[in-house]
Amino acid sequence: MEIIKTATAGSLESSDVLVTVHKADDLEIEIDSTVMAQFGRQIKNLVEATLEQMGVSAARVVVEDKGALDFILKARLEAALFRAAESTDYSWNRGGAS
Amino acid sequence: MKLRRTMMYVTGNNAANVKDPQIYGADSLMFDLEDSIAVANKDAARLLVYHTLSTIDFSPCETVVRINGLDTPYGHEDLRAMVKARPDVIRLPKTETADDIKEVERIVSELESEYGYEQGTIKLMAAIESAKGVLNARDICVASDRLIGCAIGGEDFVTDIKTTRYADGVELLFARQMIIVACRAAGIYALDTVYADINNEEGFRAEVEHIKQLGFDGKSIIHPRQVRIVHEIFAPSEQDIDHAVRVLEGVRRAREKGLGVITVDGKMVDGPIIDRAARVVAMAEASGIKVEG
Amino acid sequence: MEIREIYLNLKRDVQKVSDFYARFNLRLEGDVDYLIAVYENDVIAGVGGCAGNVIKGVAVDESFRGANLFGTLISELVSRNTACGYGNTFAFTGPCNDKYFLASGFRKLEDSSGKVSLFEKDKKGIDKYLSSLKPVPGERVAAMVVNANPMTRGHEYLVRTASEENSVVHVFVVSEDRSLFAADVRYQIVAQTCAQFDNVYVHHGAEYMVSGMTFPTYFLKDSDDINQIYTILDARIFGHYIAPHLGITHRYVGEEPLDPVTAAYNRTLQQVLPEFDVEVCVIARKKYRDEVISASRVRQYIREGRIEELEAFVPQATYDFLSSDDAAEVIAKVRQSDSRH
Repeated sequence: MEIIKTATAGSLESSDVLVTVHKADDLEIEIDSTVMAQFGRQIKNLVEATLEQMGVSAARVVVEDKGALDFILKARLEAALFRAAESTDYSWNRGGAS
Repeated sequence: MKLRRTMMYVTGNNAANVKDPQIYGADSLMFDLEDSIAVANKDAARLLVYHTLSTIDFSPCETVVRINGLDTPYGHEDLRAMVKARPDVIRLPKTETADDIKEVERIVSELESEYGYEQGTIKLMAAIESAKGVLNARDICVASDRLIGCAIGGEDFVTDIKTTRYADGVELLFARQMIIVACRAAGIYALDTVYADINNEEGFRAEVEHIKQLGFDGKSIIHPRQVRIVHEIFAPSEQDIDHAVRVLEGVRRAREKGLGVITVDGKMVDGPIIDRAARVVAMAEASGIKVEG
Repeated sequence: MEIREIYLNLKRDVQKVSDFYARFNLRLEGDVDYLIAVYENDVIAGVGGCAGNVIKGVAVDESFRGANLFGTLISELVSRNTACGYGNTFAFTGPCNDKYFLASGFRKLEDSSGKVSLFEKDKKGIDKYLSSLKPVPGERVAAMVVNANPMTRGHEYLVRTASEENSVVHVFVVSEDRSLFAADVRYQIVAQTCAQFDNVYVHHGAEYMVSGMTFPTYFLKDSDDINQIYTILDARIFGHYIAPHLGITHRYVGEEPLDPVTAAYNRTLQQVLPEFDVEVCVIARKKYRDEVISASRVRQYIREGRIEELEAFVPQATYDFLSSDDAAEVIAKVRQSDSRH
């Protein structure tokens, strides 16, 4: 999946996460979380796994987390990626929206 | 006996709301992809509800998803995602004809096949929100074996018939009764519309009493504090419970003896009475009342 | 809580929003691409808008308790901006609202004497801009910021002077597209003209050269000197971020004998930049037959259709552009306008 523009999904409300995806030359992930110490690593792993699952090798992903559960982060990240790629090629059958 | 006294609306794009709505004790949770979601966020809401339903087990609550109509740019993708996510029920808004339901059924069936799910896994619900829909209620209610019930969408309906909602609900009387009658003839559930003024408890109680009297199984809920009130009003009285228990005991005895006709206290008892008894017992138990038998 | 757009062409909408602003002694900003309002029970509780990717006109009625009005408004504005294709969102705001922008995930770039703060949503925005500016080592590094609308021999003279007096010169072309000549045209002409100097490097100013043209003023008092406030902000951003990154110690400006606004601009730079160890060098303007060569004079000639006579006033690149087919649209615009810019 090719990222062609900047897009966001989610919000800064409690329990949610704001994900911003920018076009970039390689993979950059920036994370800011209200529970950085305990979950920073886990968030990064989830982001990396999702990017790989969706075939994204170049993007700048900025995550501003307000305590979102894993599946919420995944949903917001996928939404931002699809928007940033201007794609609607959802593949619900493949166990993920990838 | 499935109780649907309360169906609580959960805004599909709100992370704080979707993660644990079951804590409010509603019988059903309706995740909304339709009217409460801005057009710009239809995609994000769909993904959030998809991942939520695929991850969290909301039992004992029933899960319902209100998709966008198939005539919108979102409906078909909503179905593809939601059938995969497997809520208990998919609710179709603005249902006007039996064909509307048949079309959804056809697509859901195909998708269940594609995803390797057992046919009939996902049930359907119709929301009737227009004059045409009300007139067609009779046919809509028997349009599919998957259809478990109908709801009335009061706000859109009154707009369609060119009036607005009033406190006494007279403008909705015909529509409500038509839908109840059609649902009962088809043997399915009837659900009433939302009450928007969450701060008016008195007004809300009056409406709940009214729709209970009309015969609805339950009401659409938009705020947790409405749940408790509906359950309270729908809770059966001691007398109702007494009678219900006797009826069910009568049924048990008749079956034991292999009798074709069931009588309780000298009177014949048939389908609707037995159903009602079962419902009363279920409601009593749900309200935490101990019922023997 | 409901978000609705204010239809700026509908009197009833404009009246509602003006009334709302008036309650807080604020003015309805004329220069916005769109305005949105947050409604609580059919009453306006907050308003905000955007001009390009700059948030402006934000006002919130704090008496609405328990609702995160500011956060909701700003989130919606950022969302709409992103959907319009902007990679970053900026905001000028009165310092009383600093905390809201910070809570909405914005980074504060600078402020101007406590009157105005500049924020950006992308916390690495300015870092990314700076990484596009390659420092060039030199004993004495200078810079200038030009609008060049269009570039004249006066600009060229300033560049030449700086080139002779310094080891390295960085020329920034203002990227704001509010001038008669489009930003990319202005940049191309400057780049082509500066190619003759091997120690001059031309850059886009991007969003980090604050211009008075999009600067919002709705929250300033009538008594505030708007030009000075935004000049201070512009100078502080330059001094805080750009100068240290490129090792700039001298900033060149052309002397301004005629226009009081530009003269004040120069004076303000001279007051602010020394704090960042940058010295301001004011160079006398180049004259042609005893008259200062200015971009506005060049535009006057264009207005009067005297393009051939411009050869003495403008560098070859500008003249070539004006003689080309591409210039037809701009020339028509110049003829119709009478703005300072």
